[in-house]
Amino acid sequence: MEEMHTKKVLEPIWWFFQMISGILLLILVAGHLFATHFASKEALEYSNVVARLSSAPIKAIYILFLLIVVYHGINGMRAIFLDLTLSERARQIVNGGALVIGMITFIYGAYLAFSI
Amino acid sequence: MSLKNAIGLWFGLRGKSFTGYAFVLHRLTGIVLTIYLFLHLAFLTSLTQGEEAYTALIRKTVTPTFLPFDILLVGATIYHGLNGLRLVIAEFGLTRYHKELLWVLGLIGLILWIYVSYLLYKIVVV
Repeated sequence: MEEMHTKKVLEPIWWFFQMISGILLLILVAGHLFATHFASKEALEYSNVVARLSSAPIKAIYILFLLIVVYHGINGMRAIFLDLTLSERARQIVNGGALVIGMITFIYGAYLAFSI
Repeated sequence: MSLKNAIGLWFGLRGKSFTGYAFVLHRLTGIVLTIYLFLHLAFLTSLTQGEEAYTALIRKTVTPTFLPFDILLVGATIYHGLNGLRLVIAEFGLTRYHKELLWVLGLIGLILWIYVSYLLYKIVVV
């Protein structure tokens, strides 16, 4: 089945986490969109963003959300690059690049969450 | 394998079956959403520059001009999420009614897309 192609490209553990993170993202993305982007114009106001992030549980959920969404996106992109049937050296570059970009993205997002 | 061949293979509709199309669309929406994740975080840099910078960004982006783009982005999100759910259900052998599941999820996705598009419209335009 073509749609199980990504499974063949990724290492079993990272494919497994791709599925787990995907299921968690169904809940986290829906929660995020309905709480902010679909709720009201006021929900996007600066004071309300600050109010949300000043709540420890909400901040914790956002950090978790960030970690999961960065993992899922970067790992998915990694699978797409690895599917190009690369040389061993190129595979190492893709894997290393994914790790570095993923870490920078997570750290930057966490910095934003803690900066206000 | 040349790069051109490799890209052709990866983008090519694998077998031209329904699941082949679903797979290609899953990848395309995945790429779009990952790029948008970077953009979303980049936009939020304005949060660190104070209330004025952030409010200026919201005033510029929460507008009718960006509405079609927002609606497409939400459509990509719903498709990627529900198709991903379908893949996980298939992976764990949770249903024998795969074809029916496809239609049910498709219908849920379409209704959800229309509903949230309305919510976005209401926030931006009304």
